Amino acid sequence: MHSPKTDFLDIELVRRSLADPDEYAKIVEKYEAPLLRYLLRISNISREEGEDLLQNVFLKAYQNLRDFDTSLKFSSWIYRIAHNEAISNWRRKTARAEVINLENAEAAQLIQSTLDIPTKTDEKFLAKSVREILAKIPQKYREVLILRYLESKDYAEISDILRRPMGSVATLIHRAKNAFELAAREVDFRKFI
Amino acid sequence: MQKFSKKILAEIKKQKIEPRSRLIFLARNYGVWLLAILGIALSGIFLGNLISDLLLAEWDIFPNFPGGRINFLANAISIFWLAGIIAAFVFAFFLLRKTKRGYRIGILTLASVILIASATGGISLLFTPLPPKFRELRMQHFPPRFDEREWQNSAEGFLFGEIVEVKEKMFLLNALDHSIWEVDISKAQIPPFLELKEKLKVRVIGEQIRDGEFRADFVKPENPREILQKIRGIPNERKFNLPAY
Repeated sequence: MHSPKTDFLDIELVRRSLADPDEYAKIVEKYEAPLLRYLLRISNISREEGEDLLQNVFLKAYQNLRDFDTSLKFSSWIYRIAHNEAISNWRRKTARAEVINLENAEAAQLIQSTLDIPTKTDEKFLAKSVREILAKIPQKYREVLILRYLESKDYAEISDILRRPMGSVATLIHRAKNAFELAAREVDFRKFI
Repeated sequence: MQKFSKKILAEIKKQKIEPRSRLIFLARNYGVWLLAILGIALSGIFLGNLISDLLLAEWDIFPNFPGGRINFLANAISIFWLAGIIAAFVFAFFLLRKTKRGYRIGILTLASVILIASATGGISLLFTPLPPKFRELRMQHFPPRFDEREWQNSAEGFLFGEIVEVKEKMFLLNALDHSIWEVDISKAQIPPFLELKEKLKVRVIGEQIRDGEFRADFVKPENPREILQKIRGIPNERKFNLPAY
């Protein structure tokens, strides 16, 4: 999670990047891994495709660096760019079956947070089930569940990333959990617990 | 890791990408704010005119029109201004949400703020000489409203228009449809504060004698309140005892 110290460091990195483009490498190195993971989680893309998307994210972020509002967290700002890039990419592509990229532990975290599933549940099976369930629920619900449970973003950060009021974020998460639970019943993974 | 950051820096140099000027972002941000405020102001203007029309409406005459007051409310008075209010309101709402932190404000709060701002603007407008001018513009450029159409129904005993010439015991009236009427006022009840003169808009209730000729029973100014306000010491005689139709 982010502390005020981290935010200050980010603001300083932005200031330095504007003065010297080479300093931007530090921002790239700091956010490369989490943003790639986020892009892969919310999109149906390969790692290579994810890296291309990530490159666009960093180029756009650099181009719009002076638009960064220091009252926001830099991470929220750059996640918003990544989110918009993923949505644009998703719209460009023709519809195809969604396969969500999730590691087993993450799947377990998401499903346990949402459905109170006992921890003894088989992780491999959980990951597979969660992939299936997430593929079934609408994109807006999928995004918010990933941001909340897998990216561990708080409501304020999700509000800034998705550009929605905090109240709407809370409602969206509630609905997303309901949609997830409903889809989970269809998958009927509980019989494997 | 470092490899990727080097790739990004190389791409930045290759494509000669530079951070955009802060002025572009400031201009965009203030542009959005300016348009949103314009939307609220427009919504206020439309609302002010709607209230003005409601205040001026001849509620005592409407029962004589087909469908009466309900028909008037449902079909006519609000359509033009109401469409304007809604369009300007929606315009302002979406623009405000596009401002830097506008998305953080709840939908209901944002809508309430715009509504209160529009209402304040609209009510303030009533204390200016603008509503009659807007009404004039609307009447010149848009089809007449339901009640205005009814006031052109000379066969039913209603006339509305502008006096073009005043003679002894009669005047010439240019109706909304630009037809000229000779109005006999020898037996008409005319409010004591009303001075019949050229370019004055009046409503006439009476009887059509033949095409182009009308006998008036009552002559009313278009905006009695406005005239009364100009003449001190004369009581508000807006209401008249009208015969049953």
